[in-house]
Amino acid sequence: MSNWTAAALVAGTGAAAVALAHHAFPVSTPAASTASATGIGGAAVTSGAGGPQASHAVATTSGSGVVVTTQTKTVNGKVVVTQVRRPAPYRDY
Amino acid sequence: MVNPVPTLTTPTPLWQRVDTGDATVAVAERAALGTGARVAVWPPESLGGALAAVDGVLGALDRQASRFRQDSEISAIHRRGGGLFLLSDGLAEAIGVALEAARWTQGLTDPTVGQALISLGYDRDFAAIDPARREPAGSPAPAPGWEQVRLDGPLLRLPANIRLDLGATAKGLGADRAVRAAMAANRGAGGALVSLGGDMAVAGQPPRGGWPILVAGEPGLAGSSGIQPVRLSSGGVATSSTTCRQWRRAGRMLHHIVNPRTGLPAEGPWQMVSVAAATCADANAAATASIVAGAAAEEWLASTGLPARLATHDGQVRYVGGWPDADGLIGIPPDSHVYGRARPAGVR
Repeated sequence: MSNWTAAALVAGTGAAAVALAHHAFPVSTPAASTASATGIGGAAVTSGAGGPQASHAVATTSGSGVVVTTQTKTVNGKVVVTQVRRPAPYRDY
Repeated sequence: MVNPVPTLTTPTPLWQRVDTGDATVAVAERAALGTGARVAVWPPESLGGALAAVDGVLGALDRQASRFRQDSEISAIHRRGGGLFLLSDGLAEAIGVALEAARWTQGLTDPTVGQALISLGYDRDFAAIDPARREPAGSPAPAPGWEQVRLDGPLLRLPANIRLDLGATAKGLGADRAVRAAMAANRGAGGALVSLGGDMAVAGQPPRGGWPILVAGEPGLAGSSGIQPVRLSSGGVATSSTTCRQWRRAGRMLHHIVNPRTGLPAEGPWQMVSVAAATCADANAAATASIVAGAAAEEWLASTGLPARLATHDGQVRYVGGWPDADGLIGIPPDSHVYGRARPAGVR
């Protein structure tokens, strides 16, 4: 969380939105990156070698209610990644 | 009642690409199952096949288990008012997982809460619920108890007074099925993540350091209870919250997570609970069980060994089971509690 900056802005989603801006998620991999585990279906997977580098969040877990969208722009020569939280319509089982 | 999963070769046009800022992974999302579905894959060129496979899984799950679709298999069972039923493999798995979750959580989740939810007013598609009806909710309807439901392979014996609701496990199960299907569509190459309404499963090879994901509280919550970045390399993550899917009856605020023992919305200190587990169905069940367990949730979660993040109504965050307190990889025990006996081979 140390790389989070204080910038906050309201994005024009039309919904109540709070945005937090930060530069990016750390590019360095966690220390446990070579640990192995068992994936769905029992196949062994690792979090280390072989996969691509992915620095930006691909999905949000939120109790079904909140969607976070990520916007990337360059401000004064710096890449600023902004997450915007917005409620989503739902139905459930 | 057989619900074969259609084999789709091209995705529906509902999907929209999402630019995350990384060209190394491809991400798309669409509305599905009354919530949002999101798929992330690498290599990016495998996205089309993955989306088509996920479409097939989501359509099949909706036809099997949605209690809001009159033409679903579970609705047909409810209309019969109890008896002995021969289920499709898919619904047999879904009910089996729900029953195993109830056994594992010692009834903190219980698929027999269907009538309780109906009594509270959650009797239709959530989007169709009048959020401020003036008449009071019906009398509380404690769950009859999951032990009364008998499932032997595809044979279900359901007492006449029981209506099933698979809400504690269905989205997690759907994410598990969908990510398996996405990987199978690409013959196991690369990696995939599937999120259904924020309950997500991963499979294959993750990006270096794990799939980067966010844990997000409700809009308006700031700081550590607001958004936390973490990484997931195996299994699944699910979040349950008492602040979404809310409605009013006679001025009383209600929500969709029901305590099976009382038939009333669960009360307790937690605004949202996120749990990681070997499968998303495990995580889904554990997150819901934690909300119901209330003050006992931390002790119960510790007994499971699962990593979890619990946020209180006033914004405090607790971490148990090794859930990282900053951006980091979530370590997950390898064993599933809700699959095994419950999962027929090859079911999607």
